[in-house]
Amino acid sequence: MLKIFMLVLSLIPALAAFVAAEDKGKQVYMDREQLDTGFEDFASNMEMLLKTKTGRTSRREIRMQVLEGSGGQGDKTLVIFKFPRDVKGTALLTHQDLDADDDQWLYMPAFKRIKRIGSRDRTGRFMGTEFIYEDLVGEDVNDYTYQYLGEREYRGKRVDHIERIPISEYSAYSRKEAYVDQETNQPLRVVYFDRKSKLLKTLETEDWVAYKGQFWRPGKMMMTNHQTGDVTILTTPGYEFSQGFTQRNFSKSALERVR
Amino acid sequence: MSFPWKHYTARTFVDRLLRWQTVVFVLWTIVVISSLSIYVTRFSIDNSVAVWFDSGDTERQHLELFNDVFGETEWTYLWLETDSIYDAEFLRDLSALTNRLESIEHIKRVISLTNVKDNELDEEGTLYYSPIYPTQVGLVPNDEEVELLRLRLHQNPVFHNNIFRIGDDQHTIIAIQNDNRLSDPRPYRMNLIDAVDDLAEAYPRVTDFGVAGTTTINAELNRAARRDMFLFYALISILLVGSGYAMLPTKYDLIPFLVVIVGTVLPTIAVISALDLPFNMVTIMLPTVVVSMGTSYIIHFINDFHVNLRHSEAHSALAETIATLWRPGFWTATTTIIAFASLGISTVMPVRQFGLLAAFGNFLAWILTMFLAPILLHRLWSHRNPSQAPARRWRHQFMLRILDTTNHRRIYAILAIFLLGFCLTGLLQLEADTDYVHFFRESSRTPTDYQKFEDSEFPQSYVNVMIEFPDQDSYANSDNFKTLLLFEDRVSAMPEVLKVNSVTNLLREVDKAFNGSETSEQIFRAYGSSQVSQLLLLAEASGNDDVPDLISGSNQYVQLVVLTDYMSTKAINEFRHQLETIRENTLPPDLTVNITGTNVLWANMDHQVVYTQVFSVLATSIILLILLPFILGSVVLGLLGFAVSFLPILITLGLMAWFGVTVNIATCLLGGAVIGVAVDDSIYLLSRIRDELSNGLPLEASLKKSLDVTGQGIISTSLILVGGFFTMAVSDFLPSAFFGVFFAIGICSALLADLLLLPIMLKWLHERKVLVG
Repeated sequence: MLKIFMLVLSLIPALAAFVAAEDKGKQVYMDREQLDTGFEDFASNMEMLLKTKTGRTSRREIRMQVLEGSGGQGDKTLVIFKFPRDVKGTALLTHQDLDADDDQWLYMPAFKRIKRIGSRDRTGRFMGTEFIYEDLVGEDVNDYTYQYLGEREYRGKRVDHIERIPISEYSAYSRKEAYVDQETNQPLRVVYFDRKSKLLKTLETEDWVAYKGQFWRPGKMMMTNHQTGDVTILTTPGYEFSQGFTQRNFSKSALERVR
Repeated sequence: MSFPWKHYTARTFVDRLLRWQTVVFVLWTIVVISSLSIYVTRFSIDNSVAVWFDSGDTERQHLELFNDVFGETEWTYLWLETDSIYDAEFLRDLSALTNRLESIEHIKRVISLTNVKDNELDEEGTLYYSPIYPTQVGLVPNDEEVELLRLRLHQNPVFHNNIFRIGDDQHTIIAIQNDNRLSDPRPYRMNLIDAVDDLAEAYPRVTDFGVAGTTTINAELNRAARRDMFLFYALISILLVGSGYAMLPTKYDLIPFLVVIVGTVLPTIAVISALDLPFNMVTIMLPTVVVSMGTSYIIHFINDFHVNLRHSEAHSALAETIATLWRPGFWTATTTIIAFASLGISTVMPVRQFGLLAAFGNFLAWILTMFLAPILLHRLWSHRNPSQAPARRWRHQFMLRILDTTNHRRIYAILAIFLLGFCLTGLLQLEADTDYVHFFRESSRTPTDYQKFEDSEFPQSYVNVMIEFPDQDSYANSDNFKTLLLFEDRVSAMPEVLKVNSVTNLLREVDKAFNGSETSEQIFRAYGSSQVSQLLLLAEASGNDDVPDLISGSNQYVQLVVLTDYMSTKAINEFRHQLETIRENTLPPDLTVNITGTNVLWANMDHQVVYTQVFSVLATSIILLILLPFILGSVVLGLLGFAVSFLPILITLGLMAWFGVTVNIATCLLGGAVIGVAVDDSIYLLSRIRDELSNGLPLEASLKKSLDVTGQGIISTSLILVGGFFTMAVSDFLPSAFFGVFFAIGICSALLADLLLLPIMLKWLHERKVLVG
């Protein structure tokens, strides 16, 4: 009996360390979320350059508009497809739901119709890029479990190395490992592992700017798929905050008006 | 016969050798031990595409481009038989099996009845792309759920003939997408297939199963190669010791015999390992071939030595043997090396490796025979009474009888003409074709498994058709979409095609779900670029993860997976030709179409194989026609030697055709190799006859003496070669077995030609005064 008691006693520090590691990892992301609270809205034109392993390149352009959620509601996001010409005017509206699956609608001007689409499985690639829908939609801190893996030096900065495991069984990933800049609380590098825990992709972020002195956004994101060798580089000239967006701009009926 | 250098005689050569004997032994030991360690530590077996083609091969480049765009994967099909695929408990098992298959290493994804996805609208009209099987893993579906599954399977034509067939409730297919690494020597394919087998066996409701696809063929090739390696090595070792004991003049001669063989074979196979080349179905035959042919030099040497030992002491006997044999030995080595090296031009890498290394092995065998065998024979026989190596009287009598039979010239002439006609008629029917499934014996799993697929009318094979659109253009372009639809229609209508999987088929289903069933096929076919692009976006946004398998992210590459029955390489080449014709008639010329896949690459090997066979025979023949008159010092003898050496390959290939054996990856090696070996005996025999004639003996006496000495050596080497090559007949890999059997037939033909045809022709020429002196 005494032996069992001693064994349990000796496990307590390890258990405590494990819990502390999870807490610390989660805390970093909670701080990050806290820091981003109050941005109200923003818009950004983005260009995505697709580079295949064979050397071919192609371009995509989108405009992203985001309205911050309030009163227990999640953010609302409108992605307007600008280029190539075939998809110009197509728009994807997402209403983040913090407790259930998000609501999502796609407007397709070629058919002049809006289609509501399921958001549970977001593993489809985004416009043929190395980003998938899951990478681009807003996420909640509670969508993951965390493990703090320690401090590192990365690109001359002190970063927190944090492992995040998605809770959803529909996630395309088994886990992600992020290097979060201790100074800005923003991820400089995220490594994605597929469902079989094999290295899948790496996201590198650069040119972080603190808009309004507080809301950090990257100017460049590079997603490298290690399994295919293809790369997508997403760049933006900047983010426009305080656009005065209202709920009307993010309503289903607004989809047909976007250009 | 003397050495070519004025002051350097065979005697001085023996003296020098004996002076350096310790160095020679040490060198042999070092080479053998290092070769063995290199071989053991770096040995690997692989038959994947990169092993067969070098990186400059156009077809390989097509496959690499395809892999760059769509990933290094291929499809393996697991066929399952059960009482009813709609039995609830079978579905529960299938669901669990699917899940477990997904966890196997090197498997990327698995598609079965219980996880296949389709577009679905819920009550609110939300579009999902989700599994049609409504039950969670581990649970037994209720009747309603099973009925729903059946309904949805029947509704979507994409599933038909892919994972199930309408009207067949007993069979289903699990499609497994797995790695297809072009340059990975690890035996992952074997492990993968073993793991799939283990899982399929674990479910009692699966009453039977089978696996098809290039992964399983590759795995079975590797398995057969591994088995052959142990089997061939064991058999050839037993054969060597047994035949050496039976045919060598004394049991002591086994020592130089085995020392030379070991010193020949180990460094030759170690070169493959040292170069980091995996062994494959062709090079795995190398030890047997090198061992068998290496025996020729040493047996002739030992036989000749013992003849000389009857009247001289060991040192003189050795000097005499070297003086007699160095020239024919050198030239037989040269001609055999040329014959095998002619395979070095092949673009099929294993054939090239085989040719060059067999040539190297032959060179090594001759060097060891000339430099190591004399030392060993001297040590063995310098203190022994020569009477311990008596002449075997029965052999002498036998050779004389053979010579006597050559007086029945007319019978032999009729027989020879009949045989020649028979073989030449056969040669006209010879064709190149490789049936990889029937590469294996009927008792092995591959042909049996493929038969299961065929009986239940499921596809067993596929080719990938990759279409590349020019820059600034894409699949979504309205014209491209329409012409591609036409191309797909024509391809689908081909009699060999059982199913075509394409992005268009997937989009059609998205369109049905989005626009409702009222949308007619005609409207879909008339879609413009915006509609196609936006449907693709809709598919992506709704989580359709099948689309990326069939279209690249930039929409500049699409692929059609064209599922067919199993086709041999000849059938694939014809099929490919028809595809090219359809492509010319339907698609604009600025679209690049690559018909690729492992099957296509294997089929393309046929052209190379025929080219190798023809080139090898022609090159060897031309070189022999030039060399033989020079070697034998007479144009007539040279031409005679060529005729006698060429006959065996005619007989071999003719018989091969009559037996329905095609030219393939292994039998393509026969051409040059049989000539190369056949000419050895002719050179030995003709050189001896010429020497005896030069010594003033009349023709009859020269023939008697030559057959008595060299003829016995020829019989011994031929029997060992025949035995060696016959060991290959036990191979599960039929091309190896056929190679061995027909090589043995070639050796027998060469033996008969030398012992019977050569004396007859010599006598005939002598009577007509063509052969003077």
